[in-house]
Order: sequence, then C-alpha cells, then structure tokens
Amino acid sequence: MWSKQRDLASAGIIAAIGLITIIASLEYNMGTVRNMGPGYFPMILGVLLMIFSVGIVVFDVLFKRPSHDPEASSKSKINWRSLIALSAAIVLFALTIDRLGLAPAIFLTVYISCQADSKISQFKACVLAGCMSIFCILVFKLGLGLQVEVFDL
Amino acid sequence: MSLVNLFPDIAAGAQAALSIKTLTYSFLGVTLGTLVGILPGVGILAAIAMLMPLTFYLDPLTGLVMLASIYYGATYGGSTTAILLNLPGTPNTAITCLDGHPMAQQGRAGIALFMTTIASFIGSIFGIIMIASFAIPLVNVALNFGTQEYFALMAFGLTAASLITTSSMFKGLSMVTLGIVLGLIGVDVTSGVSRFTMGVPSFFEGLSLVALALGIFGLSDLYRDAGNLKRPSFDTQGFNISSMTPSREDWKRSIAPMGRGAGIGSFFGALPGAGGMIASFMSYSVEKRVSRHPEKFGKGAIEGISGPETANNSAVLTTMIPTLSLGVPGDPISALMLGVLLTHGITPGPEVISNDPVLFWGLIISFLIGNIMLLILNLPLIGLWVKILKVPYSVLFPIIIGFLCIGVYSVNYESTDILVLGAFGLFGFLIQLLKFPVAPLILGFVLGPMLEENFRRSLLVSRGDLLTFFDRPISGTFLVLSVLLIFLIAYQAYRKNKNRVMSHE
Repeated sequence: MWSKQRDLASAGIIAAIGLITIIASLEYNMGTVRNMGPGYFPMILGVLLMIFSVGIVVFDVLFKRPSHDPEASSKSKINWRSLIALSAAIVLFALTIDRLGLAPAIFLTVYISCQADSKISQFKACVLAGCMSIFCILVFKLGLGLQVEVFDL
Repeated sequence: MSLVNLFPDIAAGAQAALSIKTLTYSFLGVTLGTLVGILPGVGILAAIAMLMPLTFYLDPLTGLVMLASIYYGATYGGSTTAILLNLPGTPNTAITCLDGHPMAQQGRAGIALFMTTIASFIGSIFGIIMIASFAIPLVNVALNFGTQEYFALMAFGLTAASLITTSSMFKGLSMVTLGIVLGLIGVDVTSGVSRFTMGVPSFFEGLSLVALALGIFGLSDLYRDAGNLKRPSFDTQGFNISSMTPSREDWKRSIAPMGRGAGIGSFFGALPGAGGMIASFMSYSVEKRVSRHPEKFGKGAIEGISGPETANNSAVLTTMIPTLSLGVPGDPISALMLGVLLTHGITPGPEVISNDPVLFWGLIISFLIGNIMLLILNLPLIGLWVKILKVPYSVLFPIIIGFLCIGVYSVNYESTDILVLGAFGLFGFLIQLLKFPVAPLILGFVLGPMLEENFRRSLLVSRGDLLTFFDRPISGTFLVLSVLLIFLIAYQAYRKNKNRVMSHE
C-alpha cells in the first residue's frame, strides 16, 4: 500500500543522502580521533544517515501497523502545474534580479507564479504583477532602502 | 543570587526595552506578524523567517524585540485563522482549532479571540517569572560546563526534538542529522578548509539560514497549496469590543485551565527538544481529563482554548532559558532566534547574562511588551485582519512568492540564495509528502557547527579518549538519556507491532 511504498522510498532517499555525504567527506582530510580533520564528523553523520535509513525500513515498513488515520496514509496528488510555475518563477527571479533590476524581476516572478492557478486570467495576472512591482519599489527601495536597481537594463 | 540583586539589571533592561525606538519596532513587529500570520498557509515559522531579514538592520536588542513581537503577532494571526477558518496557521495553534472553530460557529468568535490573547498574556507573565527565577541558577551550573557538557546537551536536545515531533522516530533522526550536514557546509573554522561548497562562492559562509527556513517552511507549503487550496467560505460578522468580552462564566471556567496551562507550559518549555506545540497538546489532554464535562470538548469548550494557549506561551518563554543561558535552543523558533543572535555576533551562553544584562533582560521584558502591544492594538483591529482573509488565495500566493524572493535576496544580495530558497522549497515539499518532519532539520542546521566544534575540542583535550564524555557526570547523564529516549521510543514501536501480530492470530 501507499504508506509502505512511501516509507520504503523515504528510506531509500535517506540512504542515498547518507552515501553521498560519506563520499563527499572522503575528499577531505580525516585526521585522527584526537585531532579530527574536516572530513571526520561529516563521515560519522553519513554513516548515521545510513543506519537511520535501515531504521526506517525496520520500524516503519516492517513494524508499523497500517495507520487508521486516513490523512496519514493517503497519497496526495501532486499539482505539476503549480510545481513548475513556482519553480520557474523563483529561478527567474534569481536570474533577473541582478541583471534586469527589481521591477522586471518582480513583474516576471509574480506573473509566472500566477500561472500556477489554471483558472487565472492573463489580464489579472499582468495587473497583479504590475501592482506588486510598484508596491515593492515603494516599500523596499524607497521605504526600506534596499540596494537594488529598479531598472538595470 | 536572589531576585533583589537582579533589580538593577532588570531595571536597566526595562529601560532599554521601553525606549521609543523599541516600542515602535515592537508595534511594527506585532502588526507585520499578525498580517503574515493571518495568511492561510503561512505558518509561524515562515512568518518569522520572512520578517527576520528586517531585524538584521537593527541593533541586537531592537532586532530581538521586533522578532519577539513578530512572534506574538504571528501566533495571534495563526489563532485567528484557526478560530475563524479552522485552518491552523501554525502547529501551536492546531489545538486552538478544536474548540475555537466550534466557538466561532456558535457566534462566539470574538470571545475566543479575546480569551486567546488573555491566556497568552498570562502565560507570558508566568514564563517571565520562571525565567527570572531559574535563568541565573542555571547559568551558575553552566559555568561548570565544558565542551563535553555542551556537546551532550546539544545531542540530547536534538535527539529529543527529532523524536517528539513525529511518529516515525528514524525519520525525525534523519532530518536532524541532515540538518547538521547542511550546517557544516562552508568554511570549517578549525581547519580552514571549505566543505561541500561545490565551488559556489556564497556558500563559503554557509547556507543562508533565511533561505533554508523560508524554503523549507514557507515555500514548501505554497508548493502544496498554490493550485489546490479550496477556500472555505466565511461571512464576516461585525466585530465590536462588546461582542468580544467573555462572560463571567467563561472567566470562571478558564482560570484553572490557565493556571495548569502555565505550569505545563513552563515545564515543557524548559525541556530541550520540547516546546510550545507539545505544551499545548499536553494542556488540552489534561483539561479534557480533568473536566467535569469532557464531552463538551471539541464543541466549543472555552477550557480547550484557555489552557493550551497559556501553556503555549509560557513554553515559548521558558524555552528561552536553555536558549539564552546555555545556547541550546529547545524548538525551531528559538533556533531561529539563536540564529539571529549569532548573526549579530552574540554567542548566547553564561557570559551573555553577566556581560550584557541589558540585552538579556531587555529581551525578556520585550516579550512582555510585545504581548501587551498585541492586547492593546490588535484586538480592536480584528475587523481589519478578517477583511484580509477575504482576499482570494489565487491573488495572495503570487504576492507571497514575490515577498519571499525579495526577503531572501535582501539578506546577502546573492542571487544564489534565491536558488537555495527554491531548492529547499521543493525539497521541503517532497519531504513532507513522504511524511518527514521538517522542524528538526532547522535545529540541526543551527546547532550543527557548534555540535562538531564541541565534539572536536573535547576529543582534542582528552587526547582522543571517547570516554571523556562519560567520565563527567553531567555530560554522561545527558548522553545516556538520549540513548534511553531512543530505546524507549523504539520499544514502544516494537510493542505496538507485537500487539498487532498477536491480535491477528
């Protein structure tokens, strides 16, 4: 059932992260117990993560009885549209804030985020983006003295 | 050190806390906090994380005062949505939904909100008394602390935090460990080597706490809700002061729960790893058990609000005791506050109270001020806040995204921080789908570097002898407690499984 699959996947992810941590920490000097190098502690943490992933398998997959709590064992639907829209909006902000300035960045970010809602009208989205840009210029640039260019084209 | 000896220090702190400057920022904090806390889906951690950058421009005391005020405002906002919309703004206010919303449906929303504020005020006062009484003795004990004790205490706090917040023990432990790993990203102070930075310059000083916190707490919720949220309908009746005053009967029924709540809250607050959420849950169960009419709970029993809200608030204050006097935060909120302190270059610990009593006591008093501010100003403004709830979510969430981006950018002016925000937003969303608790991650992140530092130094001093942690009684005790806690929870899980197996036979 879903909750078992979910917990198995969880264990897998944690194990993977643990492995990555161990591999990454091998790059650094281990040192000795007495004089720990930069790689020592992260290595311990990586090992712990792998141990914990086994714990998840044992305790959550094998031991736990099927939960009576419907919310805990139901699979939530992933809204791909909003996932893509919001991610794009944020990446866009990161790319444009330095190169294009505050106003374009905000405008684009808000406009793209609006797309997460499949029912939004494009006109409304533009209006909202525009208002938000103006608001942010007033509050952040003029009001709080944020060190950004408004238009950096 | 008796209370009387503390008077000059407390007075100095009070004077600093009551300056026009701090009062103004407190007012600002409370208002902004309420504004943000009232937005459905924006929890208190996101609210604090979002407004945290504003405090960086201020001096430490004012910054912390503002942060404390934001906390109160956000909690109040969270309670408001809990009562009016049955949507908890934060885990602490989840309990408030249970009886608060039925009360709203019975037309007693104003009374519920009023009681919430009063209960939180009383909780804060009690918490402050606890702090005043116990912080100094605790500090005296802490002066004997060596690196081993700090390590053991932090380890205990992290273990407890990861175990209590979730039903899956190992998921909690994994999150806390991952948090520590993330906290180690950056230049290692001891060896000068930069770890895990993948060549990104802005990572040299470590990941941005604000980007991480906002991503994991705020953005992840937005990812979940942006396309999906069904808005419950709510008609806003006129709120005036008279409709908000509780009746005599309400007061009578609330006094004892508030008293019990205060005690419960202080206890759980002082425990590293426990905090406001556990305290309010505990208080609710106690009240239900103690009540002569347990069947009334869940249908608008005012005890279901007064007890837990008091507990929550006194817990939040007493959580400051380990945070400020030992430098070990008890819950994500104080972890964030600890982060703020560290950003200002202040390392909490025994020295802070003696070296900078104005800061310490000023902060404590500012909690009181924030709460009073809330009482005076926000109660009449409820009508205004409720109007905000009428804004459609489809308009709200793009605005929130915009604020999130600017907020994160404003800290270091690094566009890579925005990418961190986005990445952890996705990560937080994914991890919550898989039913991992996210709060322990923040705790691990804030404490990670210190944990390692103390571990290393202990071993350096003891020349590699691991037993040094157990030779010393205090550190040994805490480490043993951590292990015991793990075994206890593991055993419980094993027992549950055994029962299931047996009942199937």
